[in-house]
Amino acid sequence: MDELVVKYYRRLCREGFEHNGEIKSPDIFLDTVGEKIRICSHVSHAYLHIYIRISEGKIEDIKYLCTCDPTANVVVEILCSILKGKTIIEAEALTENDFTNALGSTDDEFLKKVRGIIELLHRGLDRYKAGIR
Amino acid sequence: MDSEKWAEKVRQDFPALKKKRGGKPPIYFDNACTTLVPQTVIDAINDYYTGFPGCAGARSRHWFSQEVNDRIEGNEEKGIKGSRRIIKEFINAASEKEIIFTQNTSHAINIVALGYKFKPGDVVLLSDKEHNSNLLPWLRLQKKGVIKVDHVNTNEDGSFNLDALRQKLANNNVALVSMAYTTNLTGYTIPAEEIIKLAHAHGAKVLLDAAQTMSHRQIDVQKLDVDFLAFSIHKMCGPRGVGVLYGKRAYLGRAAHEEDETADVIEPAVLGGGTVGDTTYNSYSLLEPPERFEVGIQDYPGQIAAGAAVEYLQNIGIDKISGQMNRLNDFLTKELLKRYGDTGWFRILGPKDAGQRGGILTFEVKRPNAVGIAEELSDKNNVMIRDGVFCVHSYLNYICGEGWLRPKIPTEHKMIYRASLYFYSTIEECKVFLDTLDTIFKERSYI
Repeated sequence: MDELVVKYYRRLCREGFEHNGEIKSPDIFLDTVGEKIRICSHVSHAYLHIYIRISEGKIEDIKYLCTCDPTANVVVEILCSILKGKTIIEAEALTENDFTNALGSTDDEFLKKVRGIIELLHRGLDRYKAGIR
Repeated sequence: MDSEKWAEKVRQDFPALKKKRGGKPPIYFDNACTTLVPQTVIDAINDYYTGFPGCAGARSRHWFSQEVNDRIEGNEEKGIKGSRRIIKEFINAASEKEIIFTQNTSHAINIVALGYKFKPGDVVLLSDKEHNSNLLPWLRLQKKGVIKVDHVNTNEDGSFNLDALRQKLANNNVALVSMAYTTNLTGYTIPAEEIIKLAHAHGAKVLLDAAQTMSHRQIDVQKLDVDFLAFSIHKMCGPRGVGVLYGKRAYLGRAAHEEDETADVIEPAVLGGGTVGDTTYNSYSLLEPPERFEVGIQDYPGQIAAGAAVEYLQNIGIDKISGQMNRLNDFLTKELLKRYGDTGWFRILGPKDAGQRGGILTFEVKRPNAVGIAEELSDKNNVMIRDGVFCVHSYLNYICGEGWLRPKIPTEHKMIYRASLYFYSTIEECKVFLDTLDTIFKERSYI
């Protein structure tokens, strides 16, 4: 595992998984299993659910539940910390650079999962804009 | 020769162990899933496809067909024993007609489940840790109202509860006891001889799922007096897709046409080419066993290679195999317990004594984000172990509670991993596994 991922993950373990949790009736619900985007692990029951609440065009709240490996957990925590308070347009403009800047690493495994989570987010935002819940 | 030198020598037989990835060799600790294949077995398969790729059985009588038949059914004139006889002698069956080639253990168990003539009210008794292979065939029959399924709970120390078995046999109409001889979850081997005696005393027959047993334990079916024995050749250094069902002749049929005549004789679940003596537009008669159970074109190269695999194991020696597995498992168990203990977040499943677990070491990691360790072991140092539920969903859901695989918070995560060794595993490999696991645990702040 990349050293900076390890450092970030250890902080999560020490201080708590800030964005872990569920939002009832979210405006956007993302599911790695249903979307067939492998971010978590190759274990069959590994999953990641992301819940997003949108208010007045802004991401008011974002939480997640998961059974995933530490790198994936770091990626989703970074996603949540970046997205909270952003507009939908800003969320759509999210890139790999935002993640590498947040972590300070360009580790391959980390970036692979980042690409997966950005794709997952775009699908959710597209559905939201099309009025599909 | 000391054990490590001996292991290094036998490892030369396995082409897969000579491969490298990232400059590092494979460390294959997933032998309970499937074992590696020695060159002699690969050669047996190649010989079929390159030398005589024809049908066997009574279909054809030409050159290629004879070559295939010789290697499966034997040819004394040519001094070829044949796979069926090799396997018959390996388990000391009374007759080659008691050896049915199947696709695997699951297939073999299904042959019994679908062909057994159950009476209303019959109970099939299982252990509490059955692989889905020995659970689903019975649950399906229960769902259809044909039988009732019951199970015997394990003792707290992971050993078999003979008293519970006695009670179940005394209080239920048990027609068949069907149990994993060695559980794939913990590696524990049940006291089969006592179980069979008790079952027979109560008029029940016994089917043993020996998929995890055959690789490291000498089984004498006549001495055991077991009625049915199912196993897979791929867990014995053999080809994938070949299994065996042993059945006492009295339960497989002694003559052609017999399948409808005796309540004890199981009916073939699948009928078709290769199983029949004769047909008219309105009737059919079956061949004797084993043919009546081996429907259609068979996996001839696999069946030939099955004989090569069994001979390979015989040459190595089953005692030597089990000795090496126990020695390595004892080393791994002691090291893991020394490093992580056995009461908190790290726990070894099954008996603490490695001697009771063959080559299997299954452990639970109860820590945040406990998934992905098997992948990391492979990525870092080519260490191959298994994770998940090992097809024993029923037991794990029972002891862990439903929804245990979908915890709400990372601190409730837990994951089960299984390292399974075989005779070609080495202490050096165990050390790499231990050190890599230690690195992963440290990176994840588990220790």
